[in-house]
Order: sequence, then C-alpha cells, then structure tokens
Amino acid sequence: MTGGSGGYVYIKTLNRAADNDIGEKFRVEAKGGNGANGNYGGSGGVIVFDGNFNVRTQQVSAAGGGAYNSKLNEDGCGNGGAGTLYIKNQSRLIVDNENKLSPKKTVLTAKRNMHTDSPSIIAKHILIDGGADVWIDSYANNHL
Amino acid sequence: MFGNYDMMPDTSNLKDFMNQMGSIGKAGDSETAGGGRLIIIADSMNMTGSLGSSLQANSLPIA
Repeated sequence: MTGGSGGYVYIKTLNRAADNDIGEKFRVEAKGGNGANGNYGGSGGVIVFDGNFNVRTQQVSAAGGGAYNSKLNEDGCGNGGAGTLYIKNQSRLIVDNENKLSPKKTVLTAKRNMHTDSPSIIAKHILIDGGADVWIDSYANNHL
Repeated sequence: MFGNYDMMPDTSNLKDFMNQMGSIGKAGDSETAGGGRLIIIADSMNMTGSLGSSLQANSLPIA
C-alpha cells in the first residue's frame, strides 16, 4: 500500500500572558506514511507556527514517507516528497525530507505582486535540505 | 494517482488548510489514511515531556 500524505498542524499563540516554551525532547510531526508491500511513501504535510516561537528544526518533521524497498530508495523515486515547516515570526520556511532523496517536487506558490507583476517573496529565510526538491510557482500559473 | 498540491501555507490566512487536502487513502483501508488536521489556538504553550512526546498529524503506515 502507498503511504498517506502528512496532515496539517497549525499552532497559534497570542502570548499576552506568557511566553511559549518547547522542551528539547518535544516533537511536532506531520510526516507522510511509509510505503508497504512494494509501494511508495506519501508526501509530508504542513506545520505552521504562528506566534512567538523559538523552534529548533530537529524538533519538527514534515518529511515524506519512505518507499518499501531499498531499490526504490536508492534513486529516491519511491520516496514521498517533502512537506513544509513555516515559522511566521522568523519568516522562515523549511523544506526538509530528512535525507530521503525524492524527485517529487514540493510546490510552493509565490503570489504575484500586483504592482510589479513579479512573484512575491514567500519567506525571508528558506532552507531546502535532506533530499527535498522544490518548485516555486507563481500564483497565476498554479494549476492542480 | 499523482498531483501537484501547493505546500506553501496561505500566509494571509494561516488557518486556511482547506487547500492542503492531500491523500485520504484507499477506501476501507485505514492503514493508508492521510494525516489529520491539528489546530491549536491559545495564549501560550508549554510543550514538555519525555522523549517521544509529540504533537502528530502523521499519516499511515507510520513512518
């Protein structure tokens, strides 16, 4: 069976009364499922932190799932595509497949700036790592 | 079936996860189910615990 795709985690805090604290051992995950019985892994999900967070990247995973057998893993064709982690207060976008090479592209839409008619910046800091493959699309050309 | 799904959160409305609908798996087979939706809105969060404590929206089979 093919792994399902990761889900969506949205955490928003207002921080009027207290600050946030994420312990070193705590993890937040929206990972794709592993393939089973010779099938493919599912894509990773989306994790969004919206508030005053100091997130360590090793505590968070939106990686895709792995393929069932090693042959499919060697060239990565069976591994799921990476999901995304967005930390709003840091304007940081991370696409990390945790060392699972995958040709499955993670599609990111950059909305068009109405004044310049060019794609807008989607985040100030973007990290693509761990075998992820990203395709940044413009809003006008984005079709499912 | 493969498709392209926008994985960029809607930065103007981060609660809008409706365009993030991915695989829901094979009908009648819970082992292929996609991850769920986890929405937390609070004043503050203190996330602590021993190794393995986590918030998860993982899909099956478990990666």
